[in-house]
Amino acid sequence: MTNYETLLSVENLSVGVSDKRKINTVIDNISFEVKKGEIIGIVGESGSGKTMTALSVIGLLPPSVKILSGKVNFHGKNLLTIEDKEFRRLRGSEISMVFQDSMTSFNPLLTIGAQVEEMLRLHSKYEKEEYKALTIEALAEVGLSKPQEIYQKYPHQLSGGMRQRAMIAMAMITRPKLVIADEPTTALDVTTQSKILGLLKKMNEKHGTSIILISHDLRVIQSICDRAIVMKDGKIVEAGPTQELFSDPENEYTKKLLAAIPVPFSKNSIMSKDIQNEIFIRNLERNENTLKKDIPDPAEQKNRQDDILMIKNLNVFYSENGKRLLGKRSRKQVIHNMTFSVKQGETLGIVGESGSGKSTLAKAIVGLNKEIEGIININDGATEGLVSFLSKPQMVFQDPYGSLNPTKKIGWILEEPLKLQTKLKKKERLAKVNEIIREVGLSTEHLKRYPSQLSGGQRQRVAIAAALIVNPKLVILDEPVSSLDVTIQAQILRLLKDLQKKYNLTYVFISHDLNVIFQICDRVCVVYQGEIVEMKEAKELFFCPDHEYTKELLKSAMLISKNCCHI
Amino acid sequence: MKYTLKKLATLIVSLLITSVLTFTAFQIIPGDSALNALGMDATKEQLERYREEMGLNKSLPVRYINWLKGALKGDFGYSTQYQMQMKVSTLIKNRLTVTFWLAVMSFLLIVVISIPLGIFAAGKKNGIPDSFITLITQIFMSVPPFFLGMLITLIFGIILKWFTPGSYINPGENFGQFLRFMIFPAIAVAVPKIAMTVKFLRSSLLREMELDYVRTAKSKGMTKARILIRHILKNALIPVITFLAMMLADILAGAILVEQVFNLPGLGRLLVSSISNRDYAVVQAIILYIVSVVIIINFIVDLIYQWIDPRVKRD
Repeated sequence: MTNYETLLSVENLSVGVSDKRKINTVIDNISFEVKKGEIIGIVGESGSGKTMTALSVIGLLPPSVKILSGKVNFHGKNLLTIEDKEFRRLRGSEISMVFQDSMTSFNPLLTIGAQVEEMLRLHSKYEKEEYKALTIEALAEVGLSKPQEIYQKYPHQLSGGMRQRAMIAMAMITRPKLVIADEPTTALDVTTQSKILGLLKKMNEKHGTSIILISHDLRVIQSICDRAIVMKDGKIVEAGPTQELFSDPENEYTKKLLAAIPVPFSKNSIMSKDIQNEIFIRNLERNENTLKKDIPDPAEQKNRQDDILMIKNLNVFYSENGKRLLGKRSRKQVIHNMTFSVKQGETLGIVGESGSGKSTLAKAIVGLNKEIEGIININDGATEGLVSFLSKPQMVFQDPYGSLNPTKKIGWILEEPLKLQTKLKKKERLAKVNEIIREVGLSTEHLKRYPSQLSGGQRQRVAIAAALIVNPKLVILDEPVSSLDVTIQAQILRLLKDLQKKYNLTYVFISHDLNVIFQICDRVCVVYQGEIVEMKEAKELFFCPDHEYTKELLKSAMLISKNCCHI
Repeated sequence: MKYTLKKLATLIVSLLITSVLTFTAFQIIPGDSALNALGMDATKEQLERYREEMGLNKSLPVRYINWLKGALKGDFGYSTQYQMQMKVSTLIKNRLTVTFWLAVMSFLLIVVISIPLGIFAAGKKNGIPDSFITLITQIFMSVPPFFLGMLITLIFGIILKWFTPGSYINPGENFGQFLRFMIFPAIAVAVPKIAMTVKFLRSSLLREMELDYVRTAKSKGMTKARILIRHILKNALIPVITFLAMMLADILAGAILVEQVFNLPGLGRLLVSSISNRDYAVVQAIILYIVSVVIIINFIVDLIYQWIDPRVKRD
């Protein structure tokens, strides 16, 4: 790797946001190099300055952000001092960028073809037909089937993965020397994630394009990067070849980041062989049992009584209004014939890609979706109306930004469910609020703040507190950690486990992230296109999956984290 | 296509509903139209005969159907304020010509002036030209059109003598002269609306500039002007189109005060005089016209949306 010549060198770069005479440094004196044809990863949590670093290289910093000092040399030219016109010529032709959110990063009113082609038109001179032919070729190169059709499509008509491929096609069509990919896979499903990363790697090998890959996800960085930089609070804390950096980290922060990666059964990984054998034997036994016509043993029957949630032949529909003239409602089935049950004190994981019906299922359980057929039996004492102290199942949502009312203080938000569901007096309510806020690891000080004054992790703690304050037995967690940084993720998962022990809670934990699922769940249910394709003990599912789809999911999750398994 | 048909169905249904509402509203208003038409001195027999003649003694649904049949043919009966000598349709048709040309001219002024001005202001965000435009729009937005009309009459009519105040020329007589005269009331109507549109377009453009796709366009190496025209403008125009359509409907409903100042025989003045003369046939017709204009313009806006925003179609 060291033989490659340097393409980009960042020297002592400092960048700051000016805020009323005060200057907050967001990038603090960083230096690094990118060599020709290498993939370099920048990893760090949100606010670590990794995106700002990328934007200063391509010259797209927001107007409030100023370069304080340093140099960004590209091909021997200092990008910070060259003229606007010259920089514009470089942008797109020599340096291009792949953005995180492909939905908002494309113009919604122009076709994909027009937008990809535009890049080519700006930086080269061809005949009209040639432009189109080259664009279609570029779309085909990134693995989009039927590129002619894609050319005519609008961004909203493509899936997230397809859009991200189109974005890569757009960034690569002019054969730039450097592509900056800012969280290119964050918004995607695991299987799509690994495909997109594979595509970036392929393009890098085929065209010798250098890539700066920015991600908060160590696994993404590990999967394709030659070298990596770890950033924290605008500083580079550690850098080096990916392999060395992550197998033998020196810096405390890097160690912490690595430790926070959800690794399935990390503690037991040495014994994994034994577990595998054990499960294998158990499977054999069970197969024999089933052959013996499966006499229900008393223990199992007792278990059935402990079922807190029982779902039988559940079908959930989703109606769309007025597709046809005079609005004949068309009905789409989202969930097909699901049957499962959850025991008291258990954590059931539901995993699947977006669109598989996970969230629809959650909504059906808590009663937010009325168009259901089949049986949902919740046996937590609340629905029978006997014990008024217990509450109906509660839900914790993914997005702690969107699901807390921004105009109310935390104290009010936590008190509201008590007002609605209990007859407690003001004093009692406040006492409960004070108790629960400490329970989720915050202080009473936080009650006086607004949601916008809390961090993402704190907000998710509030969301958990709001769910638990009414004493539910069953809590549905819909992607509760998906929008959080890894270290915060680990904290929230720990909190959930502690609370479960303390209150004997039952969780239905929905996630697309298998690694998170394996960390917290006892049993896992794999959902694909609205059907349960596999349901097993977590460990069993991990070591011997049966269904092809589960295998594929595991493979993509592992592909990304293949390197961290041996830590 | 499906979308268009659906919108067309909505259009027809809403037109029908509004016609029912317009008709019934006038049945509830106190007052006897026979007495109204014939005067206080009419005898009982005269009143009866009149009711018979006009079909006023039939049931409500029958009268509605008859009225609607007439309305579809453009026949709203006769106007009482002109002693039943003038057909409502001719009356409205004459007045509508004035209102129509006033609307066309002022709307053209709004579009032609405010869109470039809005783009210019947004392009120079917070610069001196932008601040200047913002200040001017702020002032003109708050000036009432009739006062502006008086100022225009003073400056262009009396001082500069570009037109003779109050000397409205019938379009049938001399169409060129008519348009020349109409420019001045059109300006009076348009200026406050131009100011509003500039402000609205500017803020819509600035909001779009913050979005991710603009950053993508920048990363392609496009110039600022090109991004503004090719990427931002179309997106920013989406809310502005609704805004413009509402203004057009507003002008088409008649600009009473401006008509008064320039002594134009427009729809607004006809409406006012009909109301004060209890000329219900005319009022009813004008209300039906105004409501239809709003509904039809909304329909057209929906069609425009479908044309510029691919997300609307949703196949």
